[in-house]
Amino acid sequence: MTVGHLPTDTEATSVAAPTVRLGVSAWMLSLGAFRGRLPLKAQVGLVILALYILVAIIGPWVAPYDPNATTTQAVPEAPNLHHLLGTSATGGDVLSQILIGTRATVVLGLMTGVIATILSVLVGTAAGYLGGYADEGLSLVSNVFLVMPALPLLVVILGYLPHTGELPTAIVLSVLGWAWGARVIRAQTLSLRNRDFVLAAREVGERPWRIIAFELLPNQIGLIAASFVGTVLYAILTSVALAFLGITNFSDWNYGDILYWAQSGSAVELGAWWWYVFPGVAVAVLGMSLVLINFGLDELSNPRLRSSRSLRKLGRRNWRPADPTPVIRDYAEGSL
Amino acid sequence: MSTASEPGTPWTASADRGSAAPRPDGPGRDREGTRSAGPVLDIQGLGISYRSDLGDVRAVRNVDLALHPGRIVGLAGESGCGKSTLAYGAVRLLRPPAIITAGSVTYHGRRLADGHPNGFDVLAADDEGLKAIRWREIAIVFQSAMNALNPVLRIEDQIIDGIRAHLPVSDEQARARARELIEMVGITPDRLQAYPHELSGGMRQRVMIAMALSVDPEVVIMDEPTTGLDVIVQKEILKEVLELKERLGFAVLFITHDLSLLLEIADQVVVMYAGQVVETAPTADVRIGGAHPYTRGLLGSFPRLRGPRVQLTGIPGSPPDLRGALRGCPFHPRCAFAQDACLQIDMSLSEVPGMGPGHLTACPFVAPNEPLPEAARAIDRATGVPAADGADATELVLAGIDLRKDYGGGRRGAVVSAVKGVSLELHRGRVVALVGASGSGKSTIAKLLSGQEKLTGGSIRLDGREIDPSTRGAFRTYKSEVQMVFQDPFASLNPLHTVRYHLQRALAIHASRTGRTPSAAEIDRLLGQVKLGPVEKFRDAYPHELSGGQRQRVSIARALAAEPRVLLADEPVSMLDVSIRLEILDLIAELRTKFQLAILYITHDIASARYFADEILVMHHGEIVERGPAEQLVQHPTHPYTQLLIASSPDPDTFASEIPEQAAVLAREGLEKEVAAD
Repeated sequence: MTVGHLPTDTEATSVAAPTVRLGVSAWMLSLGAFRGRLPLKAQVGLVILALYILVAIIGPWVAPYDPNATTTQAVPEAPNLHHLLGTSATGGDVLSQILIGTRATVVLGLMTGVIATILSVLVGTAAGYLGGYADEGLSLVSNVFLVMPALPLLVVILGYLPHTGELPTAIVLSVLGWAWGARVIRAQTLSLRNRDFVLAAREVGERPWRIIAFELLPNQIGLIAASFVGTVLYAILTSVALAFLGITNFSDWNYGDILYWAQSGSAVELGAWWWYVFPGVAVAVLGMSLVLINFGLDELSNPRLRSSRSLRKLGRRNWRPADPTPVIRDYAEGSL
Repeated sequence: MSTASEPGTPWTASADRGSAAPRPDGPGRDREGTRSAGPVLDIQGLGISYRSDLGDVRAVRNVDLALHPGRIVGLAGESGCGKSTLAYGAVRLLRPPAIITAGSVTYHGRRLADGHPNGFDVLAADDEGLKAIRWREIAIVFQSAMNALNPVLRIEDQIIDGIRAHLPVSDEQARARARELIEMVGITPDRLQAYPHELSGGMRQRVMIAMALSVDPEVVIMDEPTTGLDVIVQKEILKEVLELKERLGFAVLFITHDLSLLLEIADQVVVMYAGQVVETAPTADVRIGGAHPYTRGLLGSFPRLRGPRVQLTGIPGSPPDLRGALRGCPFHPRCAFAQDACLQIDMSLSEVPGMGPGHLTACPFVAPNEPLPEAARAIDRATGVPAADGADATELVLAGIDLRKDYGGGRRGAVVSAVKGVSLELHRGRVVALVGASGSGKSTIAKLLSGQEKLTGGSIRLDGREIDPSTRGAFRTYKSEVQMVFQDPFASLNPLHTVRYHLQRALAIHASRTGRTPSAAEIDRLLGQVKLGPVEKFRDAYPHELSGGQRQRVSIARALAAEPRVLLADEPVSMLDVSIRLEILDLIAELRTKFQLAILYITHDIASARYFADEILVMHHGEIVERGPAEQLVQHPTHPYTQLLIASSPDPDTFASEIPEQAAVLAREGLEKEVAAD
């Protein structure tokens, strides 16, 4: 694919701009689907996610204590007015640890999401659009990555990598996590590629890169977004799991680290529930928000999920799809 | 029903009925004498609405319809006029947001006569009651057999499942019945072991009919049962339906948009428009013209195969929005006879003067034989297709010489030759029609000539020079001369782009050759050429805001932006409603004259080819079997396949046309070949 090559040979430059703008407007239209009539599920999910992102930004500044602070006491302190979410066995404030750990967790998730989605879009559309040997080669590669046992591999690789920041982990997680999205996008590209409007664009004389960028991709924006959200969720859960197993950068905080210390500090045996419940809930709620967004995107891209829900109810009764057609003799428009 | 007393052969009831009743001696004779008179399914004043946030769509408005045993009632009309809603609503198969708001539906089944002396009230029935009625008493043949059949079950198992769901019979009995049914619809019993995908479209539809008849229903609803099938297969299936109806005596409600089909098989024709019945008449009365202007418009939408090559009217405009109340006659805005009084009538049906008692129309103003008003005829002449101007040799633009295309081979299995050495020539200002059944290879020719597929053999010559349009280097040059119009206007425009974007891109790509800038003025000019106006309304519209006909006009405008000399039109009207097909064909014909375009018109409909083309090529199994000037070929076909094609095409003028003996043999051979290929 010669992406980036502009078709200046045949187009008057004065008109290239407006058509590109019109092409961009198609992107805006497909994004416009997200405005206004966003399903409730997605709205709730987005609000929660926004809160997390806010905490990720301001967390280190609003954290009341140094998360690494230690006191001489050797018992974890239950939630109280000084430590709203209690402390660890060494006296570290759990609230501060969560506030500060949010950044690493969210950044890692989003970073992995971006890298892996770019990879899967590139591989998926290329395989689907080019077809033939290119498709078979790229599909083979993504299948290999799909069947790789990710967790052991991550343990091995991350065990050797220097722990400086989130980027190395994000890259490794992306490399191991793009294949599923690529397969889904390839399948969608394959089905779109044989749709008449793509053939018609070819007939008109459009070049492949334009067909991919302005005909194919805007039509699968929902799929790409869903794949992105799914990857973010995967990255967050995996990174927490890894940290819990001790494969992490202990100079920094994230949710998994707190859980790791709770585990190694025998929080369960000590009855210090706050030490593991609060970070656990933080992970669960973040995961839930992403799942809600994904459900919402699903409803957006599949209008049948929406309309069937809003129209199932007639009068005070819910109708199942298999019910016979309702007979309402005194029906007047707007009466139900 | 006597199921309890003779559980062994519950379906023999139909045979009893057949033997007890004297056989009618011809089609169309009703059998009311053999049993209590009156309809078997009686629909009165039915009203159905679809609830919607944008205002309820009142899809069926106060419709009366009666089905009698052994008779076929044909329900015709454009898409969106309420035909299917009426049929599915009558058996309460519609889901919310559909609501039945008024009327009554009464089923007078013989088997239910004891329990329901006054008939079974369908609208009052609950889920259980309806289960006893559906399929057992009222069966449906759905339009798309591929979707209605379960792809992972063998045909036999699907038929048996249907039988055993309704009757307490043993597996062996059901199996024997399946065998009997499949033979009844003309398929050899060994095909029972096949999966749906292993059968041809025609055979799948026969299986659907066999399933519908499996538990001996008294009413069969057929929703476009032959749409999407080739005319030859269609004819076979219609013959089958007629024979079965004669033998088993069920009542049929036959829904179709193709009025000419009904003229061949129906006893009575009901024409719907905007959710209302506008005319109901014995078929013979419709054959001589019908009374309501809408019926006449529908009849005038079909190119004929016989008689002079007349210019046709079609029906201009599109059906009304069915939200809210309609004032007066809903057809008024499209009617050639419209007058002020049309807005005052209440659309009640009354008898047509001079016709029999069964002939009712909603139009009190127009007499059956009243000629079109002078004004309407003037329009008619202006938009009609000029007759072929003989075989004048004009400049040759594009030629395909000995085109061949094989699929498969190598590790993909056996080679299938889709096109086996076809030669054709496209001259400026002339239309060549390529006619053939699906699978004949006609669409492959379009793909080869447009460069979407690589040639296996032969060559393509543009202005006498050999060119391979499938290569990267030649593609754009070639595209500036040869453009294509796609079949499905709902798929050929990107739903995310405006009309402006589609046209601007096409103009920009070919700007250097045409010397036209992709400006707003040029876009308006293109829209004007395809008669989409006012342009302000269409320029920034998205495809979903346009009707099928308007979309197809945009597609044509996009093809014209390159200022091509050749236009390949692959079934450009087959996805459109009958009433607007002619408008699009007339538009293409007009552009042909205006720009001296060389046009390849690919179609399965030989009547439209006769209407529109100068030369016809008939294609069969990848080869051209006959070619010649359109009129001569249609009037004097020499090849048996062409004869069969013409004899099978529904034609209002030649109902019940017999298939020539030689052609019939060919049809049987074709069917066997189809089976062998599977």
